[in-house]
Amino acid sequence: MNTLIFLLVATLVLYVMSLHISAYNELRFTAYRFRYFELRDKLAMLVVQGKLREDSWEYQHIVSTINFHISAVETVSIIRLVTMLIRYHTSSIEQQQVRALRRNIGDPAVARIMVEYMETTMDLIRRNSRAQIALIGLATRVMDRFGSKARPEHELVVNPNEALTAIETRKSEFQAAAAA
Amino acid sequence: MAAYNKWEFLRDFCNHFFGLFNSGQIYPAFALFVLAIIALIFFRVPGDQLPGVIAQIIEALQGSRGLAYVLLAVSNVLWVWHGREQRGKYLAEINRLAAIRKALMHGTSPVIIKEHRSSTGQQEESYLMPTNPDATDPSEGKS
Repeated sequence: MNTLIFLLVATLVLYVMSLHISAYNELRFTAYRFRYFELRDKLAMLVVQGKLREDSWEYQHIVSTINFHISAVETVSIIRLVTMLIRYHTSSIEQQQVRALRRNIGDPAVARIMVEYMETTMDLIRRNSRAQIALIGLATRVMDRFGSKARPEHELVVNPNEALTAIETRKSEFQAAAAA
Repeated sequence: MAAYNKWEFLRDFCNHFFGLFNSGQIYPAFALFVLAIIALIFFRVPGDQLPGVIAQIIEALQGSRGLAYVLLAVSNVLWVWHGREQRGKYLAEINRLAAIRKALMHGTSPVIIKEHRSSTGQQEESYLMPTNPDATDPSEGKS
């Protein structure tokens, strides 16, 4: 009887802990949304101040990208979000558009917004894919000992490091533009 | 000025007491009442029996039951911390919006944004990757 009561209490305790974690995750996501809102508002203020044109390609593309991230954070589950953002930031279309954006940005203030956007996105991906990053790091170290034959031919999990590296590279390019 | 007398104290006490009911804070107040009873018991226990009582409490807290109590206490502390964090983040967001409103109200720029672009308006199907047909490279084709 005591064991049964203990198991019941343990289940309730675990349930309460899961509520905590869920509420905390929600709070973290809200914080990310607020950071994206801030970036979008900063961009809009540049338009209001006459430093950027509303009908410019840069403005429309950046707002659309930020809106995509806000919407993803609001509606998509953590697992789906991480996968989606990794695919998005490693896609060739995104790479082309970022290159185009870098060429067209004239105002350092816009470049600074892009740097902040990339930092926020890197935080978001890193925070929500810690398990994959740790596991991939461990697996890589183990497989390095056994040589290249031990490596699986197919992708078993999406690799957040690829997206993080891609974003980091673009971020440093925009940082240079912001400092100009 | 008249001195603060016992009737005024009673009136303030009653006001605060009903205030606890009205604001739903009666449960924390009840917890304080229970804590006061516990403190009174400790105060009334003879000095030579106090180590025995403390030993009994420690014994009761050992094992699975103790773990449950500890988790309950941790859980409560985490809720308080979570509430504080949440309040801080929302306040920061409100302050940020207030600063923007101030800049817009007192600014002199005649430029207004014609098209409203929100995350719900632009990204209704958020599970899809954004494919904006207009978002082509304007310098494409230039060397």
